[in-house]
Amino acid sequence: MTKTILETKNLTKIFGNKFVAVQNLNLKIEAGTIFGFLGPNGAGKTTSIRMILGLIKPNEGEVYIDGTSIKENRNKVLQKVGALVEGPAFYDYLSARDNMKVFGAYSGNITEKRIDEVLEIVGLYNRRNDKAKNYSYGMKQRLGIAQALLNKPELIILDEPTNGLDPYGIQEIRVLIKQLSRDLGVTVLLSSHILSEVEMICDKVAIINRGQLVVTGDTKTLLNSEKKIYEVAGSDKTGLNDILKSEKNITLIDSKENESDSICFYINDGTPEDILVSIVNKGARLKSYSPKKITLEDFFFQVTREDE
Amino acid sequence: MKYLSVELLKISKSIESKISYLFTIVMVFIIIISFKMGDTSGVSNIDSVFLTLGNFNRYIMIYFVMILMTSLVVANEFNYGTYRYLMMRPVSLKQLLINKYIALWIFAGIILLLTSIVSFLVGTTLFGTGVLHGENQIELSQPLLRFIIFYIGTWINTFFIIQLTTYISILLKNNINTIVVTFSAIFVVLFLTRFVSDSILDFTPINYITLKPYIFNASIDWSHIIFGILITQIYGAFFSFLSLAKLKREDVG
Repeated sequence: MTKTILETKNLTKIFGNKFVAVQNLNLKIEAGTIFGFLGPNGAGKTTSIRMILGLIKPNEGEVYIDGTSIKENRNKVLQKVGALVEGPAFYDYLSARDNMKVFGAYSGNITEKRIDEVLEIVGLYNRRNDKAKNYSYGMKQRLGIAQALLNKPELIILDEPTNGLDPYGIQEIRVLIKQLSRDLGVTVLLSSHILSEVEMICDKVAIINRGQLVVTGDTKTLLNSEKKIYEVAGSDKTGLNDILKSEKNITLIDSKENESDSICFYINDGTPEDILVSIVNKGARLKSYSPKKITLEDFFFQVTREDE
Repeated sequence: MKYLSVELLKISKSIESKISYLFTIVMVFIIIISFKMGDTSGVSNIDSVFLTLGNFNRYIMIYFVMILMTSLVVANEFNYGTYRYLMMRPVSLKQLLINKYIALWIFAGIILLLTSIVSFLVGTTLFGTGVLHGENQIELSQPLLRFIIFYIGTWINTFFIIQLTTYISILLKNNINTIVVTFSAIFVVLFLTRFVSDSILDFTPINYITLKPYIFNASIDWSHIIFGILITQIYGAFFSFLSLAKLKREDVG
């Protein structure tokens, strides 16, 4: 049976007696997985992560890491976790190695050898004596991951690790996360805005919106189980859009924002053939009509909009 | 010990510590040379040690150094965002604060020792060897004991300024603001003391900023020295309590 490394039970955070940032969040993450944690800005992702790490106290609920409550045994729990939250932070005037010494000392018995090992893992060993202030943002992100790995954590929490990185930096971090899971067996909780990235590397996902968990499950299963998206293109996009809007059995996706000729929709009821006949009968002049592979981005928009 | 060693590492590698050492040496030279240029009769190398330490206290130069360093060690944790990362570690707030206090206190000891050694050496060069003089050029006995009391008393009292600056750092969470506000607060308090009687000031750290008046008489005024150190430490402990309470109560940003 697979071990549950992280479990949150009815986790709730209310700021200032009014603003419910997170409400009754129930998450269960199995050891060895890469778990994507998604949600629009302000959905409550970072607040949830900060509660998981004990940085803020929940109003209600509990966090269990490897079966131990963080409220009851903070020190024991934090020995099993490494994290990069709200961007990397270092003592700018110290070298990368000295920064690792500082965080290492507060993490437990971290040896010099371990410091070199983590710097090697993130590809910064050759720059270990450079001051942190001379690092690029991408290097700082990698150094942030290095500090999270110092205590050989069973769970590593990465909050937007690719924020502010160029495509090469994003690629490097993606490879690094896969490597951590595959080679070191670390469970990864990854919060990210880049949905294609989550789709590519996460085994499981949870989507949170307005502080509440909307959906959770296997990435592949979720994407396959949902309603199919169809893509249609016509010579007159505006006219086609009006016809589609009048169709009762479909839900349009991104019809306004989409700058291409095509319009996407879900079929709520009936077959694709029925819809095709219906819109042609209403006078639509079509160039193409085809099923579209559902991406995590489509799925994300679907579930967060349904929630609204 | 591992926490203490990394706090010392942070201090030793900072530009602020280098500025502090340089500031100390320059101030020692300025103080001693100004005495040399004035009336130098009856000044010895031992006197010069007391002159520099006394002036370091009286003109709160040691406070300047310690406010600078405490803002680096405490307020900068918030500036850099590293406090968040320390709080994700299996370390308690108490352990974190105590180790920062001890590291800063060791640094204060080094600065005072540096002041003493440099003043002794420069004093020997400029004034030559001699005995310790008190008020009105009276010769004082037990110069080594008096030096030890003065040095250790001053050192213990720097603990108060470390605790006060730590509290202000935690309130403001910014090193520049901490330096400005702490200094302003000290100057305002020192100004207000003009309107307060000595009997009240005896129960505040103000009257013990320098312990020199209690050491420089024919006999050492032990009761005032011990009382002064105690009072100063009680105020310091109060600020430590406030710091811990504030950190415990608030979420880590």
